Formats: sequence, C-alpha cells, structure tokens
Amino acid sequence: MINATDKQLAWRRAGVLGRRLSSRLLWGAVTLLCTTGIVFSLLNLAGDPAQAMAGEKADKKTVEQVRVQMGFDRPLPVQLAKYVARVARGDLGESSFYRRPVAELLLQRLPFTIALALGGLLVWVGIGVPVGVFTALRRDTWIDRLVLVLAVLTYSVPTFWLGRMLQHALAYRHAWFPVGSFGGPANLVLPSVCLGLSGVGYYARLVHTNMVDVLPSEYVRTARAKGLTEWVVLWRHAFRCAMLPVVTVLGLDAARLLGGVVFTETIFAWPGLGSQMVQAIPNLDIPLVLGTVLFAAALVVVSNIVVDLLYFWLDPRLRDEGLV
Amino acid sequence: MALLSVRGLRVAFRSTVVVDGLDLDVSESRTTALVGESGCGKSISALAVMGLVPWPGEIIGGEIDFEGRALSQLTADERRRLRGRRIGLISQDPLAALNPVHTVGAQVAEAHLAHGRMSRREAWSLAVEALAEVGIPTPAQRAHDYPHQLSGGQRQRVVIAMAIACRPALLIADEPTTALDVSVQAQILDLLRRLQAEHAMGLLLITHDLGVVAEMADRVTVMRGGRVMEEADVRQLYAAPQHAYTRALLAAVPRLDRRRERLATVETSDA
Repeated sequence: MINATDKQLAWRRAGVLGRRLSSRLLWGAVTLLCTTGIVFSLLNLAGDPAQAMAGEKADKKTVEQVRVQMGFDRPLPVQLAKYVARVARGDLGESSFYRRPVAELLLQRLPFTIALALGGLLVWVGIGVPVGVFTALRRDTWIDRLVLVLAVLTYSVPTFWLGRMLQHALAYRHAWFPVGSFGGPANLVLPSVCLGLSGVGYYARLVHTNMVDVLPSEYVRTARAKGLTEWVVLWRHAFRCAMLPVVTVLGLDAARLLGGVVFTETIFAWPGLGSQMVQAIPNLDIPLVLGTVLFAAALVVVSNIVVDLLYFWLDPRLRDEGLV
Repeated sequence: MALLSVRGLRVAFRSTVVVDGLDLDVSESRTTALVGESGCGKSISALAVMGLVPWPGEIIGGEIDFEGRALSQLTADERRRLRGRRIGLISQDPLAALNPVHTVGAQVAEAHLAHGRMSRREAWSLAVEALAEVGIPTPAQRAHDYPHQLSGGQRQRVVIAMAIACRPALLIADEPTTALDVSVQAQILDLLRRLQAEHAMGLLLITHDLGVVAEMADRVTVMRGGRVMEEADVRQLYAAPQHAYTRALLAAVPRLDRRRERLATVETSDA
C-alpha cells in the first residue's frame, strides 16, 4: 500500500467493491430462492388451490378438471421448479383469482405502497432523528426521560391497535383527517403516522445513543478547539459520525417497514400491495401472493445492497479495508 | 507582560477538586512546561484555558488572563473566536483527534473558514499551505486523504497544521509526542520549535516526559494531585530541585550514564 500509486489504489478499491457487491448479489439470490420455497410450501399447506380456484361450491369433477388444467396435480417440487424457472425468465405468472398477469397487478398497486412507505420513513427519520439529537444534547434532563418513556410506549404499541385509535380519535371523533382509502395527500397522513410511529421512538433512541457516544469524543473536542460554531461541530462532526450505525439499521429495517405496510394498508383500506396480498391469501391466489412476497423480498435485498454501498461511501475507512 | 497568566485556578468535577490553585505564566516566544504524572490535572488545566472543560467539570475559582483580558468576562461566542484563532490546541492522540469521515484538507480548511471571510477554495489552498508548512510531502495530494491513510507522525503534523492554521499567539500542546514512535517524537518536537520561532508563539507544553522538558522548556511547573509542587526556571529545576516530589520525579528518569538495578519509583498522590 505504501508504494502503490493513487491510480493503483483506485483500481484495488474498485476490486474490493466489486467483490463485495457480487457476493451480496449472490446471497440476495439465495435469499429470494429460500423465500419462494418457504412461502410456496406454506400456501400449499394452507388449503387446496384447485378447490379455491373452482369455487367453494364446485363439484368434485370441476375441481379435478381445474387441478389438471392448472398443473396442481403435479408433485410440489416440480411445481416449485417450474415456477422458479418462469420467474427467472421474468414472468411472475397470472393471478388465479383476477385472471390477469401478476406483474400488472403489482405495478398497479405499487405507487400507493411506495407513497405509504415513504410517508412512514419520513415519520421515522423526520421526527426520530431530530428528537434523538435534541435529547442527546439535553441528556439526563426531565425532557430526555420523558422522551425515553414515550419512545418505549410508541415502540411497544401494535400497529393494528394504533391504527384503530388514530382513526377513532382523529377521523371519527374529530373529522380532521379522512378515515381511510385513497383520495388525496390528506389521506396519507394517518396511515403514515400509524406506520411510522413505532419507528420514531426506536430511531430517536438509536440516534440518541450514538450521539451520546460521539459527543465526548476527541475529534469533537478538536472541532471545538478550532473555534467552529456549535452548529457546525454538532452536524458536520458529531452527527455525521453518529449516523453511520443508524444507516445500517435503516437498511435492515426495510423489511420491518414493508411488514408494517401490510398491517397499515389493511386497516386504512389503502390500495397498495399489502392489502391486495392480504385479500389474495383467503383466495389461495398462489401466484399473486408469491409474486408479492418475492417482490417485497427483492426490495429488502436491494435496500440492503444500497445501504452497503452507502456505507462504503459514508465511511472512508471501509474503502481501504483488505487493501493492506 | 505574560501572554497567558493563570492565577489560583480551581476546577472541580462535581465535588472532586481536580485542579486546586494552579498558577501559570506563558510569555511570547517562550515555552512553559506543565509536568506531572497522569491524572494530576494538567490536561484539564489546558482545557480550562481553552474553555472546553468537559461536563460535568467546571471552573470554580481563579482567573485566566489571556492577552490582558480575563477569559471569565468573555461571552461564549467571544471565547469561541479565541479558540483556533488566538489559542491553538494539539492533543495527545492524533488518530482520535481527527474526524475519520472528513479529509485532512477539509479539517484544516475548516479552521480557516471559521475565522476568516473566504471562499472554500481559498480556505483549501491555505490548508494545503499549512500542510506544507508542517512538513507533509506532496501536500496537495495528501490533503485529499482521510486520517486513516496517513502514518502516525503525519497525522500529528496534520493536527499541528490545524492548530497553527490561524497563527495563534498561544499554542497548547497536550502530550504531543506520547502516542508516537520514538523516532518520530524528535521530528515533531523539532517542528514545534521551528514553528514557535517563526511565529513567536508562546507554547504551553504539557508532558510527563522530563526529557522533553529539558529539551523544550524555559520555565517548568510541576503538578501533583491538582496542586503546584514547584515552579522554576528549567536549568534551576534540574540543577537544584526544591521540592521532594520534583527530586523523586527526576530520580525516576532512566539515564544512560549511570548503572542502576531498578528505576526509582514515585509514590503516587492517591497512595
């Protein structure tokens, strides 16, 4: 490393990044494969897809006809392999209930889910992070303790209960917000709060802990010794370093966000992917449920890779790992 | 007139007094060494001068005069404007003192930006100049490096570049060579001496290394358990130490010209 030129170093860095990225992609593929297998097995355990497709009152003959027609009579591993092969070609199949391509159904609902997830994320980060910074600066005061209690409370409240309470208090008792469904930006407020509130307390505490770790560190003192204003010391020096672990957790929490989306969409009749999937389960609409789960799993894998790359960019020390 | 004059300084952490009646003077172009074992209150005294005593510590008595002004009379913002501009601080561990996520050039440029009206580009070129001044080779390239990419000696040079960026009148060096290899220590001391001569800075050198004191200091203050044991001219101190503790400290220094079975030990203050 000592004798390497800057250009050689840049190449080696690119190599490290490339290896890291390819191993992440490989693990991502394995994750998706396992997810598909598990969900596929669970759905087949839950009921008879042929019966569900033919209708509850259909006679035996019709059900058997559907079974053969749809290939439900083949052994499960064969069905699974066929499904995986089709997905690998980019085809998610056709919904057995709506009789339309799964990809089309997903894309139709996707914008609503994205809007809700971003709303929830905004509540997590937009409230949680400033509160965490603030309480770190007011450490061990009454307001810090109050926020701690509130954080534990909001973190512990289940989404479905919170959703109902928000609807009751802010949409029914006081008609400040629409109860549910989609109409305009105002419709997004309650679902976003419902989805995001549990994360607010969590992120406030996470940011608090990391700030409290970083604030007494020597480089923060050096920044003050240079005569920088408290504002610059706080954000450019302390906050920037305190956010490194927070970003990691955010990436891992993409899964939690999507899980919360399923509950929230159902409570608020939000026309997104989650509510569509919840409706598809009793219909035993295997292609649609599988497609949705696969899509969500892919989102989690991608968000983890993005966070990994982001971390690489945020923490310069990582770029030189394994170079010496 | 003394550049820095400390009289009867007392610092306490809650009910524990860690600095108890410190008197200290630093003159322009001169070096005052503050000597003592770890935990005797010397670093906290330096931070008190900077106005950076960490919570829950606080100054409970005494007066610190800098360039004829009582620091206790200044507002928080006036004190901030003294830091970095009139008083520079070099701390012990250069890796811990540098922010790992910013380039060293940016960290030096920041000191310029904090105290002068200039563009980022101007501040950057001043930072490159400062890095050159402290003896970093190819400073224009190294300015883009992050602290972890530099060697220990280079990091300490960067810390020094930050401290002297705005040409302070007083430089406080808190154990500037303790974390470095022996071979690098001498280079850093040479650099400090050169910078002091060029810019006529007063230097407050905090150390437990009596070898460094002999080489650098004009006057010496010996501290123990938060109190001053002895204050003297450096030659006088080595020739005729007045206080028993100073004699014990000097006896504990290993010497090449004498054979000894064991090094002498010093009774610690809390024993």
